[in-house]
Amino acid sequence: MGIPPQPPDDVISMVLMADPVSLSVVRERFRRWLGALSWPPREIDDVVMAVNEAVTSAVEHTHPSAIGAEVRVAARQYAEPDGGRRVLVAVAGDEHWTPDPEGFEGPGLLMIHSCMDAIEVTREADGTTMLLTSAKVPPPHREA
Amino acid sequence: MNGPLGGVPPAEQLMTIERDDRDGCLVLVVEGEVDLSTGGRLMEAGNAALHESAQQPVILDLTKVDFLSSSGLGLLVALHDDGRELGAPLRVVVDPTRPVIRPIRTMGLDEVLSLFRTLDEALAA
Repeated sequence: MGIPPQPPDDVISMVLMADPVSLSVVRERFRRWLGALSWPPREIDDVVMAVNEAVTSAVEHTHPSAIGAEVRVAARQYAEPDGGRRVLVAVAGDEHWTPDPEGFEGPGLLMIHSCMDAIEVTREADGTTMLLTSAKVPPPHREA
Repeated sequence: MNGPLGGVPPAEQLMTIERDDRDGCLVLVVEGEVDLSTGGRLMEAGNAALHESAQQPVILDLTKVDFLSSSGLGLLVALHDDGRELGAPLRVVVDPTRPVIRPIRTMGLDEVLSLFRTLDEALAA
């Protein structure tokens, strides 16, 4: 009677310093998480790239005087009726994430668009949140 | 061992740059991940090589780069432009079979940068 292997968690979340050193941390966490969920390497690269760009934007647009500012990242894998899977990622900067006069754009956004199926940005008084929906990947292979 | 940042690898470990000049070219071998935390060092090293060059080509060998963000791509373009002004051609080596080529193509930089598949090709160009 062995202990059945724990299925990998469908949800991850983390709170990061609004600092460039956080980027490698968030990339590594997502890489491991999606690897455990048996995602294909190419789609892992896409999600990692998009999350990196979203967190980069939050870090870059955090006001320099905002010592202790944080970026919160949370993600969930969900299945669609056909069994295909996506991840929904939320990247939230606090009120120190200063909105660009021309909105959030530039090479980072272009990169995210190329890696994800949908992007939604909401701005509230207490911060900016970016919601990223990944491309769809097939269900994981299961042993019969 | 977790440092004060709780296991965050210092930027010096995340990306290394080694100078390996040969065949009349100034060669920078970059290894690791190029992002907002490490890009500044690559920009400095690239700029130093471009200024040192007397019309010699400067080669950035990115064969061992595992990750390249849009900020990293931006600095490649900046170095390319600086090289033009200084008369030091910048050649970039990227293995087209590795994932790093994708962001380069996504941003259309394969049309802008002088890309080579191997260091030998870049040296011989």
